[in-house]
Amino acid sequence: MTEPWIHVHNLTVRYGSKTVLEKVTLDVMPGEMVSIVGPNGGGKTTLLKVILGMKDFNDGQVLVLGKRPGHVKAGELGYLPQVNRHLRDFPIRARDVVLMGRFPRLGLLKRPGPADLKLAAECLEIVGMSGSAEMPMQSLSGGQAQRIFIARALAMEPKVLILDEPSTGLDAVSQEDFYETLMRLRDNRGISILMVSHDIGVVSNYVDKIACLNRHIHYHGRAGDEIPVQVIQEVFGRNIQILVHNKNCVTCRENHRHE
Amino acid sequence: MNEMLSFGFIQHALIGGLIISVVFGFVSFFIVEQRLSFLSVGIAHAAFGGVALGILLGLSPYLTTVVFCLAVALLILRQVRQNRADYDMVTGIFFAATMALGIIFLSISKDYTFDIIGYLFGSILAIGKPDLIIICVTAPLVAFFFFLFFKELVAMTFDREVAVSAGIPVKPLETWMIVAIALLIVISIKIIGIILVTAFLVLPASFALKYCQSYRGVIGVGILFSVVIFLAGFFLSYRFDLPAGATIVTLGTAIYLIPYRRQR
Repeated sequence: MTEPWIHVHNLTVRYGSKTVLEKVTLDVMPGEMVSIVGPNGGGKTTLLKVILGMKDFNDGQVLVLGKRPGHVKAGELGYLPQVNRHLRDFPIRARDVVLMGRFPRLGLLKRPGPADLKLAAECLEIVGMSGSAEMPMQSLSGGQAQRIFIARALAMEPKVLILDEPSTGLDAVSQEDFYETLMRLRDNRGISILMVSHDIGVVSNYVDKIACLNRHIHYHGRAGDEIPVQVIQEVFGRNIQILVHNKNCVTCRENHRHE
Repeated sequence: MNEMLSFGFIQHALIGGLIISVVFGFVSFFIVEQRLSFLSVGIAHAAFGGVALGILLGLSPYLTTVVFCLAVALLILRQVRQNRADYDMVTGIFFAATMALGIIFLSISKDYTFDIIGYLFGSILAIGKPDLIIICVTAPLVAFFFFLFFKELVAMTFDREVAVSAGIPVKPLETWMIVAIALLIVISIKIIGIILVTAFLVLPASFALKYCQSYRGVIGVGILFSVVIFLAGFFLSYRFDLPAGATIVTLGTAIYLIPYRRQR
């Protein structure tokens, strides 16, 4: 049986006396796209930080590509944090941002060479930004900048890509475009993708599995399967109405039937 | 002009000032982009405490200032990391505290013959051979550090979180960067002055950021800017008998203020 590329078992994380994650279990298999959804403060970013080796945990087992977090080989784990508008004020051209993705594999003191430039150009092409290589980041739109950051993560040649709220600030068209780029990466390169999102409705169209997280993992199943109502209520609270719109959307199917 | 350049003290001032200007222009980018302007104010003012301590103990002010400034820089860094505070807050405390210590040291020592004003506002013509040697050794070392780890420093300046996740040793690099900045400030205080040095550290990149859209451009234009304002300020101050440090900073600020709107 294949080993999962991300294996989280009974993970517990506390900040002081507050338990942020409790007995969380989650597996991401090779070439699988998994989304974690849940409310703010539910521990989504904390879970990502533990997997990335940027946060210690109190109990449980976490293995990334078979190794402890923080001990993964440089470049095997690509990371795209939450949208940071400040980054787009920095005086830098798109290609130089993508080249930064080569730094972990180059190591200290070595400068990027022709092979790295070629790879950066390929990554720009994958995200459909070849024409903007020389553009300053300051002149790109939010969606374009986000694609450049994906290209930077790809330039690491990662096996696993971790994304924190990658579609925040993108309009509906850019979002669709963005998720389709991710799907291509999964299908063509066999990369595993783990991402955090608020948007349970949109991501369920694209990902293989969804995990609902609010301190515990409440649900962990295939995308498109109906998430039990009591789970949604447990995760997001009782006073919230969730509109899930995907290809299995009940309302849409009923409307079609009436036509 | 020829007559002016024939004086030994003018040559010292020019060589020392030019070396410092180039390194300032280079380092300025990192100070501005990492929002460390106020930290550099804090480190520079700590030098006042350092100089005063040297006067009190009868030691070379260089020695006490280096120790004092490095200690303060590392203490600020430690407070920032331990308390998850930001540089602004911690520097605000140390800025005043080191000045206070300086005043206490001076009042105890009661040595009023010492030229403290020269340290506060710079006395470029008082640069002697020993000062020049210290500058010629230290400034290239500082520049070499930034050159050697350029790629990593740019990556952590741009996106610290991703740099950490990618395994770049961000914390040690940050520590060494602040040590390098503190050293640079200490060796330039005699030329520019404790109070004025920050302007010289912040102006080059601030000016270049208005005109350039790549970091290499910002660094190149920043170096050019600081060399130009140093030379022009120095000659103006000589010609009109003005204090050099103040002339350089005033001129630089005036050039920075030239209105320009970049087309996007």
